[in-house]
Amino acid sequence: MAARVPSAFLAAALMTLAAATFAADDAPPLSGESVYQLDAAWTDQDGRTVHLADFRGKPRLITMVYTTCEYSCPLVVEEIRKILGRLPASNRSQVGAILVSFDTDRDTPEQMKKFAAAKKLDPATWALLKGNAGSVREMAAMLGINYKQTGGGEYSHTNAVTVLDQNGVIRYRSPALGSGGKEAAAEIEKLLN
Amino acid sequence: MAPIPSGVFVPLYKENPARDPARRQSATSRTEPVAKPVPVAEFLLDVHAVTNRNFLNFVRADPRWRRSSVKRIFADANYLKHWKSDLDIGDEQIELSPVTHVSWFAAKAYCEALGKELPTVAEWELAAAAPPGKGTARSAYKELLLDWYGKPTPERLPHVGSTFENRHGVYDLHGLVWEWTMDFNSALAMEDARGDGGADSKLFCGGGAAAATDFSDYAAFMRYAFRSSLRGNYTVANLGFRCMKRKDGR
Repeated sequence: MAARVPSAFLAAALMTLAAATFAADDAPPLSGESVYQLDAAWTDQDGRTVHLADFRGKPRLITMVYTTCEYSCPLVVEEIRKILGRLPASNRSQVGAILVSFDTDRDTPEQMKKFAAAKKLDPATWALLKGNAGSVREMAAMLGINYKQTGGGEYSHTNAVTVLDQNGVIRYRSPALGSGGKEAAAEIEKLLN
Repeated sequence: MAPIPSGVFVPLYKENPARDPARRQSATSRTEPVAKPVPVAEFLLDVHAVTNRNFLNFVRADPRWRRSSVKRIFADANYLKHWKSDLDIGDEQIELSPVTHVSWFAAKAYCEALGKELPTVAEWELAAAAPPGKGTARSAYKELLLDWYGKPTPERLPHVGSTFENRHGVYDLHGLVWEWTMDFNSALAMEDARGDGGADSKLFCGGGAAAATDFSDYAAFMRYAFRSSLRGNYTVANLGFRCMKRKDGR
């Protein structure tokens, strides 16, 4: 009896694994225009290693921030919250948000988690990502975000919230902060319908 | 590669110290913009821009960067469009000319494949500030640059090494093609801009000159304006690159 429990458990685990593998193989190849083509490893706020392709499946709002930012980053987070708030409640769980950090030194998973908690960012929706200097520069180049370090741990940067479709293809880029998020929300609804 | 001695790159534009926490405490310079010098450590720079032949060897070894297989997010539809096909340049006369129609992603991957990197704006500008030969007056040199900037790109680019060698032994930093830099996408973000691109006015027209440190270096303004117009997957007929290496291997 005692021996059968683990083997049944193992069989179930193997089936789950097989299903997961099947799902990955089954997914159509990524479009060449997908941001998820960037094959870098990132660390999320829970310290897990993730790849951008893991974010396939849901439309995502993506932008770049750093958590010690005093000026525009809180506004950019609010902008995403506003866009999500414009969606019908039933659609909200089908959309994700990704914040990629500029600050490869100070934005540790712990710091990002603290930031997420302080801003009340639901981990089911919000992923905070830390990369290396090269992958951060590449991400910015793909999203059309200009930035530079200005000393004292501060970064100057463009504020642009980008809408990615279920496969990471850029569908909309907000022109500036304070635009109200109407167009971005409409773009997401199009992707969900 | 040629060694570029350490130095200080002084950007053309000035920054508002009110945004700099290190200076925020100081009551004296609260609103006076300052040019913040960027120290650059000694590094090695390719003597020539990467040629079509060099780049052909790269795409032979790495199929991901061939014209027919490159992903659009990494290079636009004009990538290597002057070549006959994936592995055929198709024109012997341009084999030793700088490769152009290459994206930033492709240039970066090329350098990394050789254990090198793209130079930063500060590194490139520091190397490129060295005048040609000995005793060339700075004003004459600037004249020479503007002369090139005013000419259209020839259909067939000349070979690398065809313009001039600068004091560090590096060729063609001016006069042949524009060159990608690692942080080409840092030029617009002068300040913590709430609006998108609110700070660009400093780089163009009168807005730029008003806060400039060197009014006469118009060629440098053109480089800044050009860099800030680029996206990582853009490919341009007169935009190539060369690689660098840091001494400590960072």
